[in-house]
This record gives sequence, structure tokens and C-alpha cells, in this order.
Amino acid sequence: MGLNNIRNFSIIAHVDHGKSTLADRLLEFTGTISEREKREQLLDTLEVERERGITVKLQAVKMYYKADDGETYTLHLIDTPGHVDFSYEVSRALAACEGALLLIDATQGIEAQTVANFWKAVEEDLVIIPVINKIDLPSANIERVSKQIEDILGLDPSEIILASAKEGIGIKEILEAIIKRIPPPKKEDDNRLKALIFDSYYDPYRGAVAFVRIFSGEVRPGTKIRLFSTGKEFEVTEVGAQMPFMKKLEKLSAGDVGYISASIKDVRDIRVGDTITDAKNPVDKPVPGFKPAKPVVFAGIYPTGDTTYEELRDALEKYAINDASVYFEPESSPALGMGFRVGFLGLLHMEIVQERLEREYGINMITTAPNVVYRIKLKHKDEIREIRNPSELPDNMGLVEYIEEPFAKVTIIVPSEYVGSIMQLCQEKRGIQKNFSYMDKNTVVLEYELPLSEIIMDFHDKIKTLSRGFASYDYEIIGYRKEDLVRLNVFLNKQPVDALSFIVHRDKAYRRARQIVEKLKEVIPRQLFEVNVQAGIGNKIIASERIPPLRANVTAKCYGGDVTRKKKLLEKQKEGKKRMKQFGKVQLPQEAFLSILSVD
Amino acid sequence: MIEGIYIHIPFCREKCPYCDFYTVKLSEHDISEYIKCLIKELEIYLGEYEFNIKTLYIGGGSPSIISPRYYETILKYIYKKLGIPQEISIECNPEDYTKDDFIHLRDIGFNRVSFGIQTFSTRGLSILGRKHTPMHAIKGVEDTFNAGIENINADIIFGYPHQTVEELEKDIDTLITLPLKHLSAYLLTFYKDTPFFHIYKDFKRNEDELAEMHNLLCERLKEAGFRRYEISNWAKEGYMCKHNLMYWTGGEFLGVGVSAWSYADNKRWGNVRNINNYVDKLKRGEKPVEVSVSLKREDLFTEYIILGLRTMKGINKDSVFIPEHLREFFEISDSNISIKERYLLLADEIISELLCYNKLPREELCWKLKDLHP
Repeated sequence: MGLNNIRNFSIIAHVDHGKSTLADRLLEFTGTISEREKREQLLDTLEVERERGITVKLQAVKMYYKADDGETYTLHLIDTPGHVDFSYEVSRALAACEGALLLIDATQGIEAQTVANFWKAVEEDLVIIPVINKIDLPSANIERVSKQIEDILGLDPSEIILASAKEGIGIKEILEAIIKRIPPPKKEDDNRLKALIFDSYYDPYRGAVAFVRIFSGEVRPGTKIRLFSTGKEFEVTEVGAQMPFMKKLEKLSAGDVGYISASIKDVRDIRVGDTITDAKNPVDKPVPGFKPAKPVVFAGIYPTGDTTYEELRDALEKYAINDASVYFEPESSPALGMGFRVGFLGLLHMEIVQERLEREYGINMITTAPNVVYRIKLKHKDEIREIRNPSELPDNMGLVEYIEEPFAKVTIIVPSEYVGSIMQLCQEKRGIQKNFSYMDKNTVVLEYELPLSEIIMDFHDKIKTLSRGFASYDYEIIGYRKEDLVRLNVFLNKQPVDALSFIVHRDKAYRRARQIVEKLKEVIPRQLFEVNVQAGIGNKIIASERIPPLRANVTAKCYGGDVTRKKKLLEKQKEGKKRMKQFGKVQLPQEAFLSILSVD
Repeated sequence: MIEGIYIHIPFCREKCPYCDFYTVKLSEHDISEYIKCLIKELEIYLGEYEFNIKTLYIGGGSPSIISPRYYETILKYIYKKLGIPQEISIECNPEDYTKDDFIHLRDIGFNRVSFGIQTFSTRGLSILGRKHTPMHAIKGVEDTFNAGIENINADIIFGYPHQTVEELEKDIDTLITLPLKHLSAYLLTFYKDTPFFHIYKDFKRNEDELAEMHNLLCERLKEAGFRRYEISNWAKEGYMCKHNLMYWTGGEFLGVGVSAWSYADNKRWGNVRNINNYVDKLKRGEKPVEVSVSLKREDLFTEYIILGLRTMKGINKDSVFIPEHLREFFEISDSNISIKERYLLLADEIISELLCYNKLPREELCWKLKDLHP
């Protein structure tokens, strides 16, 4: 089959606009999956993803479609993750395509990620097919959404396809549009191997597997490949495609999308965005746009309960084989002992890692509050230092010439009735307004520049609460700025607890200090001893609270029939205590470490 | 060697809203049949275990709502098979028995009566859903004493909703004027699956007030000549309840009757919790056991700590490791450690924390729980 009969495309959408359902319908319509094989939302494979209803790992499915013109086409559907934490993965998946379906919920209209993903697709020069989904719902407003598509995205409304993935409406129209509007892969003159990695995963049988788009040349088992960014070489053991289950193929050639395995032990060797070429006959230049995954949020992970440091390390190592975007290094905390500083792509990514470590590896752990990466310049020194843990900030701020924090551009799309409270929120979070425009008469697009640290706190919950769930947002990191930042130290019974300290803007220090001590008072259970909770800048205390000692915890009766029950009760209390982290005399529950996130 | 027998009488006129024992309405069941089953159950175990019975305890439910003559049958059977125990107790509601009944009880061998007085406050009795009056309580104790049973206990409850420190003080004032040899003062527990648990699920007791009540009990009862020997129990010299002490020191006992628990041969077993099932099983000659738990070495050790530290005598001081930050809560003597009296209201907190540091005994002390007790 020639290049002319291949189409590579993605579906881009705001979360919950029906991407997975549409993918399922396309697979069914083309006969790629039979009824028997049909699982709901086939492309979401991991348990965690299924439970949360979001896609973390993108994959690529090969389908065959006999079009109205009588020809049979090969379609590669490249799935994209739906959360802003994974925006780089989205851009790489789009780079592997020539076109994209832009899916918009007829009841919700354009939302922040719709816009963000639209622009990513435009950057990659893709042909965009707008699809309005869920037209069967009574609250669907096709006219409004069409107008938005025209006004905001500047697309021709005549190009819009109306669909309901759930009801199977418009599926054929979509497939025909893919054939007619999206161009086939461009033929390159070069016949040397050039393949873009847009996803990877770890398979217990195949080792690390790369999902690739071949731009030129071909690859087959036995080919010696080289990774552009590291220069590492491997011999290909298998190539194939997901149909939707993994199927071995003889080779992958220019225009194809599929997978390559080469007995690679570690997914970190096949980085998303990297280029694969033939080691014997390499291309000169890689596919542009490679960026090594860079964690933007760091948190400490420490063993607790029966889990040991070694068990935690083993679990992290095994986990990282699967997830190239997680980064970890050992650290030790006076309060928590030996543990790890772990870097994540964002908060959602952090939650996923946490859950999987607990569920799949049986790890008991304490996670400290996440922080962004700060940068400082010390006086009389040339280097700029990265601060990944608030405790790395010098106690004496006099030594610091300046400190910088990452900023992000945030786009918020919000019904106009809520715009006031959202603007107030952004202001409180030190935001600088960059744009205010009406998307239509009821919807406002706001653009702010906000410190990333304010976004990772409780921005998501606040936005959703203030707008009753109607506002959506998206952000991208735009760089570092100097700010007047200080470290707020937290003391328990006069002892500083490094794991509870955090960096905050000086203007907010008093308010945050008060909030954190109040929050800690709420989450730390009363104990055998009085606990003094204080917060301060350096050693200067600016807020304090006391948790009075527990006065009563006793079961009055314990006779013959009560012993077994009593033992269970005390064992339960004991297990509760073991899950907490002992700090001196004080036992701290997990909530204490995350309480910083819920203040403000 | 089984040293004690517990007999459960599940009948009650009405269920108290804070009680989570298994009870049934008296009117709906055949008492004679139940008593026959009790004897049948005893008979099954007689052949199976060795007995050297020191104590017999009849509890409930409300043992006093059935005639003493039923107990005559049971006691005679036990005397015949196992000899006469030293201590024979019965739990009574204050309002049930007359002086003649107490004389009857004395005549058939009871030498200890325990009254569920709870409080002398009329308001308190109504909050607790008790039907007797303060006068019933006083008269019950006096009738028992006058019938010639001098070892009398009163159960009281403190920390019930809305109780004031003054109310407790008045209760103590009354108690110490009565001819009591023993006192059990229970901090009200809101057990799951009781009406109280639901009614008061948002009710927050003032812990400082509880601590004040507890201190008051400690002081006043001491002044009145009572010695505390367990978290909830005080006795005059020589009147500690031998049966209950057995529970806390690893003695083996047989519990018979619906929902009763037993402990022997490193095993705890509990009977079925439905009177009809109980009766049916025994009619078929089966043991009425519902659950049975074998105790491993670490379980025995945990029980040793949990139970032993409820007593003022405590546990062998070399058997456990006490981390630095917990030391101030313990009294340490030459051989034993125990929780200091003023901290007993925190016993569960202290014990559960101690358990975090003690999985197995530090020294090769025991296999049998009993052996751990000095």
C-alpha cells in the first residue's frame, strides 16, 4: 500500500468531551475490534486511568477503512493524553500526524484545553477537522458551538461535522473527512531511517517499547538502531502495530505508525520526542522539537509503617522503568529520615505515581507537599542554583542576591457570570492580567501570568468551586521571574520540621503562617503530650497554636467476652499510629504534610 | 485447667440504649428450656477439659429478672460435678429482687451481688434509659446486706451525656454511705450498633471535664477506703473480684450461654449470638460455638500487655520495651510496670503506642499467658 492510502491523525479535546468514546466507535466502525473484544474505552488500559476516567498513556492503533471511493486506507489513530501535565506528550503525538479531529462537546462548547490543543495542532501544521460531539443531548447547543468555532478558532463552519460518539452518529462522515481532508504522509527523498518516538511503555516480555512514526526509511527486526539524543544503539527484535492488540509486522516503512522493541531494559532510554535512526546509515538531523522530560513539581517521598527505605527504592526503580517522566534522587530529612526527592510533570502525575506505588507495590509512604523548582543566585557567586526542596534555601537570606520562581501563562474560559470571582482569585494568587476578551456574549477568555506555585496549590479546586464547575483552564510554563520569596519554617514543640517548610511570597507569609498552624491543629490528632505548632520566617515566630494533650481514650469494660474485640481495637489504633510519622514525641499523619496545599 | 465459669443470662425487660450485650425480651422465650441448655453445654465441656473451679459468675442481660430457683438448678449441678467455688456472683438490677429473694440466693450459695446502679441522679437514670429509681438502688443494697451477703458491688457510669461533675460528686457521696465492698465505675462507651452511638454521634464530650471526673473518683474513693485494682474497678481490702481478676491474668474460663466467650488451651471461642440457634444446637447435642480464635505466641503477648496494663499490678517489667517518650506514664517497681493512676484514662492511647514497639516478649518468658503473670 502506497503512502497515498495512509492517514495519520489524532483526536484532541478538552477532558470529558468524549474522546475515548469516539475512538471506540472508529475502531468498531472499521471492524478493528469485534463485539467480543469490545471493552469500554479500549484505549485506556491502566487500572488507574480507568478509575479516574482519564488517559495517561497514549497509544497508536492501526485500522483499515474501505472508503466511498472504493479504495482501502490505512488509518493510524494516535491517542493523546488529556491533562495539562502531559502537554509535551500531546505535542509529540501531534508531530506524528498530518491531521487532527478537534472534538467539542455540544453542551459545553469550547473550553481551555480545546483552545490549547488547537494551537498545538496548528503549530504542527495539521489539518484540523472540527467535530461537535454529543449532539443527541437535550442541552446540546450546536449553533452556539459552531459560532465559537468560527469566531475563536477561525475555522470554516461548513467544515464542522456533527456527531454523537455515544449514539454512533456521524462516524462515517468523520472517516470520510479523514480520507478527503487530511493529506497522506509526505514522501521524503531520503531513504535513511528517521522515526519519531511519541510514546513508550514497559512490557514485561518485550522490554521497553517505543511507539514511533516513521518519516523516512524503514525498520525491521535485525536493524541496528541508534537513539539520537544519547547515541545508544540497540538491535531491533520486533516491529508491529496495535490492531488494537499488539501484532508483529515484517517491517515499518515511511509514513507508518507502529511500535519497535529492541530488548531495551529501561524506558528512560527511549525518550518521547527523540529520533530513532539506522546506526549504520544515520540521518544527519533528528525530527525537531525534542525536549527531555523535565519535572516541574517535586515532593519528598518517605517510607512509613512497615515499609523500609530499600523497599521504597526498589519500588521507585521498578516504577521508573515504566514511566520515563518520573525523576528521583535520594534525600534525607532530619524530620523524616531517609527518603527520595521525586520530580513529576504536575500534580496529577504526582497523584498517579503515589497511587500506583501504594497499590501496585504495596508501599506505605508519606508524601510531603509538592513544590515548584526555584532558582537562586548567591551573592559573590556566579552560578544559579536550582532549589528543589525548600530546605535547600539558605537560612540567611542575606546571602541570596535574588530568588526566582517559574511563571505560567494561564488561559481560563469562563461563563461571564463567574468572571468577577475568577479574576479576584487570580489577583489573590499574584496573577497579572494579560488578556480579557469575550468568546461569545456569555463566555469570557482570560489570560493571566501566574506563579506556577500558586497553580499547584489549590487553583484547580478553587476555579471549579468559584464557577460551579463551568470554568476551564490550561497553562504553559513561560519562564522564571524574580520575586520576593521567603521560606516559612514550621516548628513542632520548638523543633523545626524541615519537611513542613515551604517557600512563599513575603506579602503572604503572615496569612499563610496563620493558616498553616490552624490547619495543622486541625489535622494533627490530640496526643499524649501537648503539641506546640508554630510558623515563622527564619527563627522569628509569626503564628502559633497549641494542641492540648489528649485527656481520655480508654475502654471502660474488658471482661471475658471483650478481650478479642478489645485486642482488635487496640491493634487498629496501633496500625493507625504506625502509618503516622514519628517526629520526636509527635506523630504526624499524612494530611499534615499536605496541609500546605489546602491553605489560602 | 479451667478456673472459672461464666453463665450468660440474656433476658431483659427492655434493652438499655447504651448496652451492646446480646439480650432478648424475657416474655418471648422459654426460660426453663434455656436453663436446660446451659446445663447441657456445661456437660459437653466437662468431659473435655480439666476443671478446678474457683469462681462462678452469672451475668447478663438481667439475671435478676428470673426467679432464683432457676439458679438453684444450675448451682446444684455445678456443685455436684465440680465442687463449690469460692466466689459465686450474680448481677442484679436494683429493682428486681426482694429481701426474700436475696435470702434465697444466699441459701443456694451466692456470696457476691453486683448491682447495676449506674447513677443516683433521676435525670441521669432517665438519660441512660434506666427504669429504676435512686430509692430502688439504696434499698436493693440494704436488702442484700441484711440478707447476709456482705460482698456487694455497685456499677456506676460516669461521663454520660450532659452529666456534670457535681452530679458525679453526689453519686460518690451516696455510694460511700452504702455497705459496699466493691465499686466499678465505667466511663460510658458509645458502642457501635447501639442507639446511643447514633443519637450522640455528633455529641462531643468535654475531655477536660472527663478528666476532672476521673480525678474526683480517684481521690474520693481512695479516701473512702477503696483501693483501685483495675481501670474501672475499686475494692475494699480483700474484696477484689476474683472472677474478673482471672480474666486479666490469663486464667482459663468457660463461658456458657448464648454469646458467651471462653478461653482455654490458647484458644478463645465465642458462642452463637442468637438464642434460637443456641437452643437448637444444644438440642442436637452440638457445641454452640460460632467463632474460635487460636492464639499464637505474639497474640498471647499482646493480650498479656493489653490486659495486664489495665490492672494496677501491671506486667513484668522485663517483658516489654518502653520507649523513652512513654516512660513518664509508667510506674516502675522492682518487678513490675503499670500505668500511673492519673493516666489510666489514657490507657488505650498508651497501650496502643506501646504495642508499636513490642511485637514479641523481650525474654523467653512464656508460651502460656498464665505463666507471664508473676
